[in-house]
Amino acid sequence: MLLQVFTIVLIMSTLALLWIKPIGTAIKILSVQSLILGLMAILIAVRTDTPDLYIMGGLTILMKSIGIPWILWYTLKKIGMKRETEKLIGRELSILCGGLILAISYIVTGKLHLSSISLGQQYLPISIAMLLMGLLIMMTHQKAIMQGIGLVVMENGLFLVALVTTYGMPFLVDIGVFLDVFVAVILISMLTYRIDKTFQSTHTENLRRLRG
Amino acid sequence: MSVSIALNIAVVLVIINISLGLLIVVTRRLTYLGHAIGVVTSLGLVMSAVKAMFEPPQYVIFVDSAFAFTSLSFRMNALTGFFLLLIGIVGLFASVYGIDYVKEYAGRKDVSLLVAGALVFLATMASVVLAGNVFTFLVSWECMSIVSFLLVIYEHEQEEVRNAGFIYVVMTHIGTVFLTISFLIIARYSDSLSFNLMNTNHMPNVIKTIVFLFALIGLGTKAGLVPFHIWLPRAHPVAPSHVSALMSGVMIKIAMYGFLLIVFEFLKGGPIWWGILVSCIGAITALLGVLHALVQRDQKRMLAYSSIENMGLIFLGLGLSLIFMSLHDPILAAFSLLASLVHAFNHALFKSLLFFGAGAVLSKTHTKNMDRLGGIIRKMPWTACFTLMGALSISAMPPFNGFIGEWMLFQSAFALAMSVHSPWMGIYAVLLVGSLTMTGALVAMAFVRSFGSTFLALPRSEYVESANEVGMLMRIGMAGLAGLCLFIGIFPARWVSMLGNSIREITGMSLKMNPFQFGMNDIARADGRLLLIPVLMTSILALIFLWGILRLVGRRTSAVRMETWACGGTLTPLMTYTASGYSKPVRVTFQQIFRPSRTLQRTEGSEYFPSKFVYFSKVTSFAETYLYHPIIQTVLSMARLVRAIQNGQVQSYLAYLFVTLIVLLILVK
Repeated sequence: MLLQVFTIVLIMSTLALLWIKPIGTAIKILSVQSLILGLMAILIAVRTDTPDLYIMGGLTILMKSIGIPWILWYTLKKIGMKRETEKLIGRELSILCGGLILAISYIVTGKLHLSSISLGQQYLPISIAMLLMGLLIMMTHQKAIMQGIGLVVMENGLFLVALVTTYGMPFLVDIGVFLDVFVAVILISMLTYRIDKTFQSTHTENLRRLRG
Repeated sequence: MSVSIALNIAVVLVIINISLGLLIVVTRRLTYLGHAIGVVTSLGLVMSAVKAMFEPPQYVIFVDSAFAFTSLSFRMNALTGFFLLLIGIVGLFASVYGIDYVKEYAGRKDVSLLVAGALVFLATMASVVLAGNVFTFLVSWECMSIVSFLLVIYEHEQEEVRNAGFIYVVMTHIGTVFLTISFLIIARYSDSLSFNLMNTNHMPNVIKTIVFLFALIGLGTKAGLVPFHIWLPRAHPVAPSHVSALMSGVMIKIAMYGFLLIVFEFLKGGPIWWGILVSCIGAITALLGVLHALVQRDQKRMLAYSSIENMGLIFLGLGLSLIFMSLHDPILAAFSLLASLVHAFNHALFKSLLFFGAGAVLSKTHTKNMDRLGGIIRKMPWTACFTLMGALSISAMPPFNGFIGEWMLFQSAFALAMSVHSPWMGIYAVLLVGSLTMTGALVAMAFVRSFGSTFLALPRSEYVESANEVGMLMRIGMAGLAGLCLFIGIFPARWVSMLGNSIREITGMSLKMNPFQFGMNDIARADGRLLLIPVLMTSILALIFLWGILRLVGRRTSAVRMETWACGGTLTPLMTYTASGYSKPVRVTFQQIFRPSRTLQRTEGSEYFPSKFVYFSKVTSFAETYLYHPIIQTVLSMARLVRAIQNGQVQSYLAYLFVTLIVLLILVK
């Protein structure tokens, strides 16, 4: 029951990310989403009694709901708090896309034959949808910082996939993915800051000039 | 000293060179130590090479590493020794010459980088030759290419140099791709990466042909064979002169080594059309090379084209050898191979000498344009003397060394013409002889032109006024090579018999048992005392005779020194034959190839009384117009098509990803 509530919060928060305008709020939503994910991991750890998952849940809360949002927040503060998101498609259309993605993920995962013991049957569509929506965020947003947020959402989706199907990936793999995302976010923050310094805006459109 | 010690010494010298080079690059000083080590290591290479050439059994050093593929291995045998000797000798004189020559750049460039580059370049070339497995060979080959590229763009402030460097690096990498593929195919079929265990017995003929063609393309690019030669006349002239000498004299011979390795040692020859293809490409390369050399105004560029021509001759010899191998005539095969090796060595000597000469003139006059030079023989007598010796050698005049190699090539072609294989083969051989003859004549003309317009007549521009003789070390560098040219030309037998072991290494034929049949007995004595006695004696006697007549005539008449009569007008330097003027007949005769274009523009004065003209003349490069431009255009237009997807927007790249993912998710059952 609690898990179901958590997953609903997760997918709602992802949809909210498609809707909201101020970047500051998006970072807060991301932080909450990661916190929920961490709690889910700990909950599953309690139920299945796997010590690895405690650590993973703790790390998720520590890094994704505190560390990464803090870095993004810090970058945002440096380039000016009052920035809003800029998108290639409108908010309504992106919410619609979100719904479409959700439908696609239910259709796609419905074809799979998962064992009824695992949590997969119920939660796999949600996690796939999160993954794809993260990609959608990265795709439609023009600000570099939102691409960072989209990346973390994708990683959250991936984590959820692993969590609900096999109770987490092997410990080393998880740690590796964590590090990757962490470094990527740091890089995106630095890049955002640099682009802003150079072009007075954080538009990734500016990167077009790099084309040969 | 045994061969194992020789190999160890050679490898240690390579390591010393590379580490010292890197040290110099880091510290930007120690230039003089660099010069000294360059000379010492070259000497060491010469000594270990000579050792290897006399002691047939080979030796291998193996440095193991974590992966079997990346282990290093070095080996030394008689063939390796030959190429090592070539590197060592040219490297030695280039190092001596370089000590004075780099002073030319002092003040405006960082000299230490040039010194370090030359050191590492020598070491990597030696390392290619010493390599004992595929990995070592390819890594050294690539290092050699990259270091030589860096040396080519040493004067990168000039647009021309950057362009040349770019074309060089592109062409050399294309070549390396083909070379790598052919090496890996051989290694795959022989289940080994070590050169000594290469075994192509189980290789199907189709695969053998692919390996051969890829090796020909890959190594032909490095060797400057037509039509892969376009980088050579650009890159060789713009490098500093002693590096040009190393590149033209030695580096392109390394390509020849690679060809011997793959086609002769691993594949052990093949069907007869291989040899016909190689010799045909060689003949075309020789002819086109010398024709282009004849119309160049840039002294060093002319020499670079002449290098192409000589590589053509060398590959012609290799092609003849392949033909003889497939005709099961091992003696003649070994003999043509010997001719190629001898010519390769001779070319290394005289081409380096000529580049040294051109560099000496360049360092004093700061122009490479032959039309602007003239009369330098009075300002730089030593340089003129050595350059003349080089020019005589390259024109195959006895008693200089160029004669030996070309003469042996002629003999091989004649032998093919006389072999009773088929009438078509006879006709082909006669055509080869014809192209050799024509090449020889044009080479002589090219060097009469180059020497005459540079050193003789009157100075044609103010560049020449300030010229004076170059420093002692540069003269020593040139004198050493010139001396060797003369020495080998007079005593070739000892030298040619030294190559016996190298030939046996490749073909398994011992030439000593069968000393030069087919009418070569009168010139090549088996006992190796004196080759060419008749030729030498005749030329000496003729010289003495001429001198005597001149003395006799001179005693009877009284000489009065006067100015040259110029029909009553005053003589100006502009009246002398320029290099462009001298080669005019060739340009006209071969206009189908050159497609020369000329324009004459009046810039000042009226139509009937013009006072100033501007004259442009240009010849096109055959291969570039008809082969490279169409290819490049095709590639570019295809790239433009692909470019539509590549719009530089992060979001659209993500969209490609997204769409692919969704489609895959839906499709996969």
